This record gives sequence, C-alpha cells and structure tokens, in this order.
Amino acid sequence: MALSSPRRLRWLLPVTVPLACRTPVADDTGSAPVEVLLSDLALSTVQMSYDIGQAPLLAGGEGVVTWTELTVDTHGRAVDSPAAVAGLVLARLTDDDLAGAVAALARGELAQQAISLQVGCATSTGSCQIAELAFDSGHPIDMAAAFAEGTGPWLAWLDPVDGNEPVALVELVPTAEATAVAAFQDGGSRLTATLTADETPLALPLDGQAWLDWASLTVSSQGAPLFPQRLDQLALSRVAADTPDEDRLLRLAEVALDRWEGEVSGATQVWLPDLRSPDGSASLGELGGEGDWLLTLSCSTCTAPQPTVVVAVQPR
Amino acid sequence: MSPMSGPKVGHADGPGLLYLGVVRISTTPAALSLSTLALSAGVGCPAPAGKVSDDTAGADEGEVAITELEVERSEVVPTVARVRWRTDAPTMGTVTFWADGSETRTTLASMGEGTEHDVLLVGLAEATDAWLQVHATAGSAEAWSAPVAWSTGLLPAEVPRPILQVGQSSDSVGGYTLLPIATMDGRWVTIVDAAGRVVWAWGGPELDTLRARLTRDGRGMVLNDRQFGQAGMELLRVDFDGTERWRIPLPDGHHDFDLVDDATFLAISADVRDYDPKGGVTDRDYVGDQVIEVRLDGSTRSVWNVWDHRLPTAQDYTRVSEWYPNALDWTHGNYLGYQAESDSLLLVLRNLPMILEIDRATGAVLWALDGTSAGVGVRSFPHSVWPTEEGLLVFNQNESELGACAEAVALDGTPGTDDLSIGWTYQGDGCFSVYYVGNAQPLAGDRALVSFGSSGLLDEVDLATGQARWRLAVGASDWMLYAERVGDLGAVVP
Repeated sequence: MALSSPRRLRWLLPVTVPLACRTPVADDTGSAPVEVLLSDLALSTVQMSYDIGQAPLLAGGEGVVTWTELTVDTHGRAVDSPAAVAGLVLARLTDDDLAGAVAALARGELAQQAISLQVGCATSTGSCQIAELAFDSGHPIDMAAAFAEGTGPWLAWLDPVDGNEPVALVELVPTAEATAVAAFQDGGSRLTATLTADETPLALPLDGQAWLDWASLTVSSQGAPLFPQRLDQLALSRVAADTPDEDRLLRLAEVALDRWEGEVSGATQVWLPDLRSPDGSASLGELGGEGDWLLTLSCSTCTAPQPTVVVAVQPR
Repeated sequence: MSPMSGPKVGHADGPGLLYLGVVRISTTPAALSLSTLALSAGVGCPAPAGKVSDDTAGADEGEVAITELEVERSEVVPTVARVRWRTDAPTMGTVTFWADGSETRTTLASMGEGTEHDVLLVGLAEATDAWLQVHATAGSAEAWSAPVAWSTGLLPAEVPRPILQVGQSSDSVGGYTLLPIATMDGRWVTIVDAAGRVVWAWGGPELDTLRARLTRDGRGMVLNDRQFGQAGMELLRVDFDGTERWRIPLPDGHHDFDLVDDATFLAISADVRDYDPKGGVTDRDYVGDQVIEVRLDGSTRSVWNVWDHRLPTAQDYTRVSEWYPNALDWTHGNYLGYQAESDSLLLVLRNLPMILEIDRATGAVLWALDGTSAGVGVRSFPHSVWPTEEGLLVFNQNESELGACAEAVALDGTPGTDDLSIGWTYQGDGCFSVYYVGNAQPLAGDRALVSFGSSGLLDEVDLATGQARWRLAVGASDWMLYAERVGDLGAVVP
C-alpha cells in the first residue's frame, strides 16, 4: 500500500508576534486614523418573525414537494427558482411546538436539539419526492415509514445555492387523504421585521477613513448570542429617509441608494476604505448624501435570516 | 453552499499593525538581544509576568544559551503558534505559555534532547493575547528566554462555534474536547475548551470525517476522511498548525479507527461477500466487517473478521447498503477503541447488535455482548463502548428513526459473564432521537461525557444527580460526530 501525497500541504507563514496590543499608525498627514469600536449598545433593535403556511401532503414516501413556481423568497425578493435553490430540507421537530421552533429560527437561536430528524435532497430540478430524502451522511432511511400520518411537526425549507438562510418554508402535514403534491408558492412563507434605530447613531467619519471593529459584540440585533467571528459580510448602505423599516431590513441591497460591501471572513475589523461597490468597480467614497446610512453585518453560513447586525450610522 | 462572493477586505490584525516578520530572539547567558526587531509591548499593554528584557534569571552563565527563538502563527489554523529555538549544546526544552492576565500556565515539551527545538502551541481561544517563555536544561544548567508576547488569530467564519448551554468552565471536570462537527457546508474537526470556546479547527467543504484521534507525539491528530458517495476512507495526519503529513487510503474502511501508536492504526473495514442465508434474501451480497491493522510503512493485516465467527441469518437486521450496490448492510461496525493496557480492542457492531473485546495479537474474541447477554446486553443499535471501573459504558441509539430515545447505559459487572447489570441510564432532559453517531465516555470525578450526535448536544453528566452540569449545543443543521474528552493538548509537562 502506497501512501498518497498530501492533498493540502501548507506551511507556516511568518506573522507578527508582539501584538498583544495595537497601536494605531499615523497616516501620511501625521494624524492617527479613527478606530470605531462597535459595542452591543450601538445595535439597533430588530425583531424578525416568520409567517409560514401549512401544506397537507400524502403520508408515506410517494408525496412530492415542488418549488418551480416560486418567484419570491421570504424577504419578498425575486428568486430565480429552481436555479437558486440547492435542494429541500425536511426536519421533524423534537417537540410539538412548530411556532416556537420557527420563532427561534427567525431569531437565529434554533438549536439542533429542537430537531429530531433532518433529511434532505439536493436537486436543481425544482422538486423532490419524500422517498428521495436522505441523511446528509448518506445513511439510508425509510422515509415512507417515517413520514407517517400523525407524526411531526414537519418543517420543510428550501436551501439556497448561496448561503444557508431558507429561501422559503412550509409546514408539511402527512395525511392519508391529502394531495400527492405540495408546492412552495409565493407568499406561502413571509419574513416580517421591525426595526428600532438606536437613539445615538454610530458616528463614522464623513470621509470613511476609519477602522471598524466588532470583536466585542456579544449579541445580535435580535438579542441572540453572537460569535462575532462568524460574521463574514459587511455593508454600508444609504437609503432614502422615508424607506419603510421592512425594506431597510429585508430588502436593503435592493433599496439602497449607495452601497459599499465586503467579505470579512476571518476578521473582526475592517478598514472601511477597503469596502467596494456591489459590482466591485469602486471603493468607498464619502459617506454623504441625503437619507440614512445603515451598517449591516451578516453571516452567510447561518440559517438565521440576515442581516445579523444592524446599526444606524451618522457620518460626521 | 459557498459564502457570498465579493471583495475580501477583512483585517484580522487590525489597525496600525506593522508587519514584522518572524521574531528571532537570541538569548545569551549574559544578555538578550533581538536579531531582527525590537519587541514592544505597545501602549496600554497589560504588564505580563515578565517583559522582554535583559533579564535572564535562572540561566547559568556560560553553560546554556537559547538562540534563534522564532514564533510563527499558523496561517491555516491561526490559534496555533509554532515555536522554534536552538541551544548551543544539547538540551531538553519546554515552552510555557499563558493568556495575558491569566494565572493558568501550560508547559509543553520539545521532543527529546537536542540543539534544535520545535513546539506547537495549541489550546488558547481565538484573538487571545498571550505570552510564552522557553526553558532549556542540560544537566544542572538551565536557561530561560525572556517572556515573548504573541497572539492567536481568528478561525474562518464558517467554523461552527458551539454554545455552552449549561454550566460554565468551572462546572466541567476540565480538559479539552475533540469534537468533529458536521455542518450544511462541510465538516470540521474542532477542539473545544472547558469554557466552550473553539481553540482549534480544521476542515471545510472537502472534508467528510467522523472521527479524530490525537497523536502520541503531541503535535497533531489523525482523522478519517471519506469521499462523498463512495465506499472507503482515508486516514490522514494533520499537525496542529494545519500541515497535512500523510494519507493512507483504506478502500473499504469506514466509520472508526484508533491509534496503537503514531505509525500503527486499527480500523473497521467492510468485507462484502455473496451469501445466501437459509430462508433469507438470496440475491444480495452481505456487508460484514473486519478489523484491519495498518502501518505507515504500508503493511496491513486482518486482525479479526466477523465472517470467521458468524454467518448472516434470515433473522438478522439488515438494510440496503449505502456504499455497496446490491448489498445488504449486515453487521454495521461503527465504533473501535484500542485498549493499550490489554493490547486489545473494543468493537461495536450496530446492526447485530454486538459489542466485543478482541485480542489484537491473536484476533481471539475475549468476550462478546449481544442483545440478550445477561438479560441486559446491548439493547438496540449501540454506537460506542468504553470500559469503566465498574464494567462498561455503552451508548445506544435505539430505534431513532421511529422516535425512540437514545441513551447512555452503564453496565456494571464483568463483560462476558452473567454478572452484569444496568448501573444507570441517561437520556438527557428530553427524548433525543439520535440517528447519526452518538457516543459516551466515562470521566473522572463521577462524571460521564454523553454526545447525542445528530441531536447536537454534548452533556457532561454528574452521575450522582443524573443531571448535565455542562452542555455544549450546536445550531440547527449541525451534528456532533464522535466526541472525546482528551484532557490536555500537546506533550504536556506536569
């Protein structure tokens, strides 16, 4: 037996070492750049919740779930289904408390212990038969027996190609006399959100020349426990002053008049001038203009609705 | 799913950091000099136990000198630092490191006597400011380096971070937990400290592991890695700094393995045979199991094979194999643990169900416990076994797919005899249907570690009260794989 070659042989790279503390470095003008520390106190208060529908589906393994007609996601954003959907996830909840589990999912606090059985199917065709659903591990399961009348609650959601936040959700109810097809439909699941902007917006320099540090965050804008290291997307967005709260939270990229963003995986700080326009063509300019500025931080690998962190910004 | 694309602009090191390169420190008996840079603790730094200075307390002038001390943070696993140094004469070496402001010190040994030393520091959480100090001894002579400041970085954003849901670090008996985790986006081997913080992680979308075992040399681990949708697995060695050392393909290996030493491994391996049990299914192959011993030099041998002891019957529980076409999953070996004291191994065959102790040298079955042994036995779909002072600790999945509760079961008495009874059982504070992995391990202090696998819970149970004193939980869609409390990391010096 021959040993295979290392697949990923990587070497240590030199790093800075005596960095127990940081000292801002003076810029060309001799003045130290602004360092803005984001704390829990600066967060806007957000409440998100799902309103999901119920769909009876033939008990056993013959039922089919489809999403070919879905055109909007839970945020109300256009979705290119089925291309934007990686597959279907079906979860049987541990307790008979669908509302509680869905509320926890919306807050970003749904733990795996609330799920007693989770199976899925990966497909780009826009439909899955219950019998096709399997464990991610490849372990076989007799879904015809598991998806029996009287079992549940069963929560189904569509897994997106990009990210992990559900595209749409539905409660499936296995019933002997139900239709053999259950379809995800527009409006069948809707995310609602309320926003309470902090009375003291976060001050950022008008020219954007600042470091922003969110390492000390411990909770999300919804008050859920937060690991700041998990946040991997940051955006600064300007919206019209009369933009409804739900648009600010759920469709921010679509309604933004200006938007600067960047991937921040593996970091809890960013030099704001490194942010780019959505198409990558321009770097951050002045934080001016009419309307309101919002800072958002998101976790693209989380199942919770995004953004996780919302902060009202006051350029000065 | 891949993270959203976009320009990567994050800065792990923050504002104002100067790229200083590798720190090299020459410590002579008379004085400490910095060969490439001036170390500065920086404005506002808390005072460490000692600062970089000319202070070489403890050094015997003219006898031992520590030179070329280098500290490098791993780019692959930024919570790990590699410390290297030389001495002007053969010495034994250690590195003591501690988080800034912490009273807890960890001392790791360099391997053997020599003039070149190399230690990987692991065990501190992300973004921790820390200090280290090197110690060298040669007979009665010794030398200390000055304390050197260093810091850990951030692990990738997609690394799952469990939540300490019950208790705090002081509620645990302590030590680190080796905890592979499956996520929607891939699998990660993590190491979690008693505070519930991830101190090490390696993996991602390409990794399909179930188990990791620490190596004896204190520098890393061996884990298994499968190819999605295919039979077989590889064993691979990964050092704590993320360096992958080697891979051993095991074409029919699956589920679990253990180390005899850093070059000898025991693994469960499928043995698929055409067999027609009387009255049973006749047009399918049967997937049985064997235990194979594999060495780094490429040699392999079969230690034990179920086909030498038992044949499928019509009454055996089987289901369609997930990896072998037209075959039935017959024995479903799912757990292997090596017992160094007796040079034997414990094996769990989930579907029979059966637990065996097997002599490694001869392959003899020392005892077997099946579903009927002594009236208690292995109740349903066991997934781990661990010897205890009183007998055995078993984890049973039970009929999880039908909603049954998984449980850890203490079997007190002597395995292989009628002197066996149930000491206690633990199902957690609910009914958790564990359809994937799950295992249990006795701990010191009348505790047990119980992982509910796909239910995403890891409990440290106080056996006196039957309550979880410490609980880790993972988020929706994340599963815990084989969890193991490993105590210390690295070659720890008492």
